[in-house]
Amino acid sequence: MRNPYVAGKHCYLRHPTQEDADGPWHEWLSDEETTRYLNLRYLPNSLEGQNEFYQSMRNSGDRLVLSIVDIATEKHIGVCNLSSINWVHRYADLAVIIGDKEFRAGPYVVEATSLLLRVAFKRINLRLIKSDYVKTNESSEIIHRLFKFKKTGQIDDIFWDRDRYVPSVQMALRREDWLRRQPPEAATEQAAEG
Amino acid sequence: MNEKLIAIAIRIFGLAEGDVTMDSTPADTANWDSLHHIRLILETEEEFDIELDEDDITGIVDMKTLAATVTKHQS
Repeated sequence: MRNPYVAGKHCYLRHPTQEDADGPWHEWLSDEETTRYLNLRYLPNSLEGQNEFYQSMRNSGDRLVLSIVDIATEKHIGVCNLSSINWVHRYADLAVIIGDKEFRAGPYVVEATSLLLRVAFKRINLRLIKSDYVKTNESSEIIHRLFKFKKTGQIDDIFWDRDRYVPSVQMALRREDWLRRQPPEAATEQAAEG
Repeated sequence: MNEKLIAIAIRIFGLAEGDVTMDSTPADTANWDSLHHIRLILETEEEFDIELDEDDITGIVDMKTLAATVTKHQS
């Protein structure tokens, strides 16, 4: 592992590198299937655009972007981030993308989400993670269920999904609810920290 | 317990009896993609009335580890 920020069994998260920005990252955010349910990715991406994002993200005070890397191959397979981080009220939005389609069938999206939540609640001390998904996105819906996010609202007919407007579902996960799902030793350690 | 897990997997993956055994893995089982994998975990939680922690969830990679995780929570 190279410069891991947090590591799991199959993948780890680390600060993105210039090599990542010069790799296939920009292609993921142009791909029709990958971007189908993303709010702001309806226009094509480019290598230059990705490098601009890479430079801006390094100076951002309210966004933490991390590369997802397969431990076995050291391959950059996706990207995840905590965005709109509010350092006063201590909440943020969460997003995880497995860009490399070869790695979508494995445990990577679940593990990367788990690692990012650990970063949010333990490393940078957030208390609430917000998220939303397009109601027709079955994969996203089920991942929110797995991590016990709770529905906080819904905006009807807001997202254009190919041939119709569909609802966006707002979700949130509170730190105390996340803690209940942690292995006993981690939860005890957290309780001791107060 | 194994029969119950196999029945859940067959139902989730939309397969026929005999297509899933306790030796099955995503690599050798039709329709075992990440979406169905998560459904398998959620359905197992409901069926056995257990709540898995995140270490359990990320440790489930095939039918054997699924069974071992359920056993751990039942003991």
